[in-house]
Amino acid sequence: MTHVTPGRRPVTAGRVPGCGQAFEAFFRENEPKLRHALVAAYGFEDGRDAAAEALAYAWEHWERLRDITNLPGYLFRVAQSRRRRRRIPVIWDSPGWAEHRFEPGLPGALASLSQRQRLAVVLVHGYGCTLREVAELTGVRQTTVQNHLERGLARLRARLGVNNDS
Amino acid sequence: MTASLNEQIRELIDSGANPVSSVEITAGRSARAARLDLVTARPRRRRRWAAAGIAAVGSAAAIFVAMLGGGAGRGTDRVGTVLTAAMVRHVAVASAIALAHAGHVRITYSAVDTIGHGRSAGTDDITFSGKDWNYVSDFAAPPNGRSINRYVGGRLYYHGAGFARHPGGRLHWYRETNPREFRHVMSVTAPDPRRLLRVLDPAARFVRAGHTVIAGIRVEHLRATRLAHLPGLGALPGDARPIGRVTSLNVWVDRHGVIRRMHLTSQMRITLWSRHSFIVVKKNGTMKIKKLDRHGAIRHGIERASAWVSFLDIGRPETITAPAHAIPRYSRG
Repeated sequence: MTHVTPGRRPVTAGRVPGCGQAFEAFFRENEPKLRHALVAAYGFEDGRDAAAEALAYAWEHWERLRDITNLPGYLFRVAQSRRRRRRIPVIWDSPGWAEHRFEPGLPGALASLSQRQRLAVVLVHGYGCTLREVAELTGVRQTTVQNHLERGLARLRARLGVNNDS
Repeated sequence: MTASLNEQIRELIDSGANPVSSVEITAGRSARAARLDLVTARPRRRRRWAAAGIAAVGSAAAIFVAMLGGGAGRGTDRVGTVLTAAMVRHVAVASAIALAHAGHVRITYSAVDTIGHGRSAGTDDITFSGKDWNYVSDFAAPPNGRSINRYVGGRLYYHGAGFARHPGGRLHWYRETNPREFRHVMSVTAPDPRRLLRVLDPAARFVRAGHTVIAGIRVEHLRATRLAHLPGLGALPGDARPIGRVTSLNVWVDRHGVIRRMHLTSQMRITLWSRHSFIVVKKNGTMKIKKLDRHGAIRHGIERASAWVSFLDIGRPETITAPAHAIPRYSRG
């Protein structure tokens, strides 16, 4: 079955035996991580769009990409490049206000962090990722992630007036 | 409210970004990319793209039916729940920030009564940027043409049928030169739609009433349940102001909490006297209806008014320029 998606080469489902299942497994495992990272970096709407685009890219080029060791990290870079090409200013905005069940100052405080600090804080503290996982995903060294994390967390605490977050 | 900062961060991110659905992936592009494509594509091509997109989405849904379920909707709509004071304040603040420097508001109003006495309707279009504003009034019923008041750089201009030198004469732009009249007009007509935001008061006890889409933007519908003493409604231009008792107030806010639309209804009891009766005001101030013709009917009814307020071009700067040619005019009353 062949479908033509606009502006892209034909997408052929089932061209590679087992492609669907393998991609599905990859998708299940990595979609949340990729989305969380990109949302932390670029904001809710743009981050989510970037994750969708990166995963779409993975699906289209699954044959070529499936053997890459650090595919989530690769897709993170894909998303970054695509965003850069679009030249959309980065605005880290707050989410749907109706879903607020948390400190109202948190979106603003997170937005005040640098992109890398925010990414580290969200992934490590929000989702329990290890420094190594974040380093692999973002393509920087573990110590760099740790630096961003510590600085980001200190800034976040200062901004929110939080002394004990446990 | 969760206490742990870690949990709050997680909840914040989860609340703002739904999982990417399999359909989006297999369609090969995100919703934003799709929108951009549709805007930039030529019409003929657009149809082909749209058809291809629909086919891809439909087929992909069939192929990947076992993959992650949906995820496109929030699934956490709690219709009927009351917004907390903090949430209402968040909407008020977000809207105030969005309209702080510039804005464009269109107000469509109408009023009808049950005794068929008359109907009024019209549209006011208000654009403001800093202290400057442009206020266009179109009276549809009764038809009374269009009038424009414009305030730019400390000067007041006006244009419209009511300002012509002679009835039916050529229309010109005029610039007010009478300082007293200037102050009077400014105090009476200077529109500031931002004052309308005062209606976003926790005392109105807003409840969620579902979601809808306005101009391609998903918005949440909020309905006020306490309608007595709503502040800020006096900021509506004269014809759009509520009459008598406010019967409903609905607002629609986007995901940032910025108000996009407001709808207000009100009603009042009215009495229509026949032309054979008139009101006599006595010296002591009391009123009396005096009938000249005993067959003249006095009819009672209800007048219902409705006003839609649309907040347009949110975040877009507005430019209000002075008319190229304006005739100085010293108005007298």
